[in-house]
Amino acid sequence: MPADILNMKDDRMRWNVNRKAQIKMGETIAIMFVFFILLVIGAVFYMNLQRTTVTREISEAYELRAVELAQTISFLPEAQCTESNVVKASCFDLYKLIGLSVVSNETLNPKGFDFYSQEFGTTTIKLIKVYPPGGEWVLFDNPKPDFTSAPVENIPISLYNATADKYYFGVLEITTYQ
Amino acid sequence: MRGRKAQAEAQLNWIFILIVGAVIMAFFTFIVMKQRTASEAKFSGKVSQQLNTILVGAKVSSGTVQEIPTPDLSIRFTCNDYYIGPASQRLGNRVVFAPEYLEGNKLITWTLDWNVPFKITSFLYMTSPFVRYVIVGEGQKADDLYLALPSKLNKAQVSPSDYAALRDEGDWKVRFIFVDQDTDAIPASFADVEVSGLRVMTVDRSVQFLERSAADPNMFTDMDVPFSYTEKEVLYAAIFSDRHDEFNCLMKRAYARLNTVAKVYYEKLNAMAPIQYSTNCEGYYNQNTNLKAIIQATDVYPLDLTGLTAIANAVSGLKDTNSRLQIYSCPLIY
Repeated sequence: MPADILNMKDDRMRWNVNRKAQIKMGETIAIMFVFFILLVIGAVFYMNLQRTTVTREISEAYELRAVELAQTISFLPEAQCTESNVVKASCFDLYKLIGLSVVSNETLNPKGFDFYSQEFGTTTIKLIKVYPPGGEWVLFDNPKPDFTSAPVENIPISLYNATADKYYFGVLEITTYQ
Repeated sequence: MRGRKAQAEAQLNWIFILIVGAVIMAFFTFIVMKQRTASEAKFSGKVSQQLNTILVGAKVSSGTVQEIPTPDLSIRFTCNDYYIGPASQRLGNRVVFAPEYLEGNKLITWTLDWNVPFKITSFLYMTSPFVRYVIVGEGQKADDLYLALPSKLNKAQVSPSDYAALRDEGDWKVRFIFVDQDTDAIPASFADVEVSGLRVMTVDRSVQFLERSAADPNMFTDMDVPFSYTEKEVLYAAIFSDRHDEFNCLMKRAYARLNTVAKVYYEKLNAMAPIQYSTNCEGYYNQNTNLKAIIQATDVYPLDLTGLTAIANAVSGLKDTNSRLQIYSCPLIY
């Protein structure tokens, strides 16, 4: 066999081997690429799921905050009805609430407002006398400047008027700013 | 030649696989580590939230002592927050007296109302069965203090003569409460134990926080100046807190609350006053001087002896007025 033909055969074989290795490498890279694409899709899906869960949890926490706040107000010594320090269950003293609305007023009493801001946060708490009708007091007002939503919680309460020795029916309107 | 090439190719292929494998392994290890940290934080957050619910519950059930089982955890209390691992919760306006660190799987809570003379807030005392309280003293005052502390507490009473020979019982922390005692020495058996102290002087109604001296570890040294108290709830607060600065910060909050609540009562009485004109109840409500005295005394913190005396006088004045109003069938102050 002439030497040229032998060299040509040798070159073709070398070319074939290189091509095979390149294809193998390409295959592996393609597999890796697909694997990482799947991984990224999975991660994105998981992240979205987590985001939805977190959003739901945040909104639940805000709802819980309103309930917690209602509970806090219910047990405030400066709001409860008492007789010689004995607490009357589920009763709010009308005159104490009027006093509270003065003390927590930002313009009248900045120190008192700061104190209750720590207790109530960014909320508005209103007392509405429902029966007999007539009378509305803002117990605390600290709205969030850039709030996105403000769910309102209404809590029916019993109001005691110490001077008339009479019980009224009222509603505590709690607005929690989000 | 071809054999050598194939060999080199196989080697390169393995190196490539190793590198890719390591990258994948590192990626998953990173994910696992992140998830572990996240789930730990989530757990701490959940526990701290549950503890918050417990604290709210304990606060409203005044006069009760509760033993609450918890996961094995370490809680750090400061004046404004408490921390469980990386999770923290704000205490807000709540007044919780506890050692700086609490460890173990049980918590003891004790709630008492702070009345001056009307309810101002509930003091919540927290500790663990692993903290031992040793009352050092004899006589009525020491006995009364020992009996006043809840029975669920890990407590003991020793006479001053037996104090030096006191043995360590393997408690995590020991707090010595010296009732009318001038002792500064720490018993030799407590050389390696975390100890703290409180000197209670019942005659002048003051407490002095003590800590192990850095210069002489067998002696106690004073932390800051003594703190005067008027109500026994404040004395218990000093027993449960082991840090003077945290105690001071909490008492500042408590007095700020007293100031605000007194203002609410003052405004309440002012609003009631016009309705009482020309009745036998007139004169008890408008511009109430006792409430004014409390407001003035608590306007600044710390309170001096004059302020404390003014509060004590106002308290007895308010109690007296309330009793009179009850006799005359007038609306009560509190």
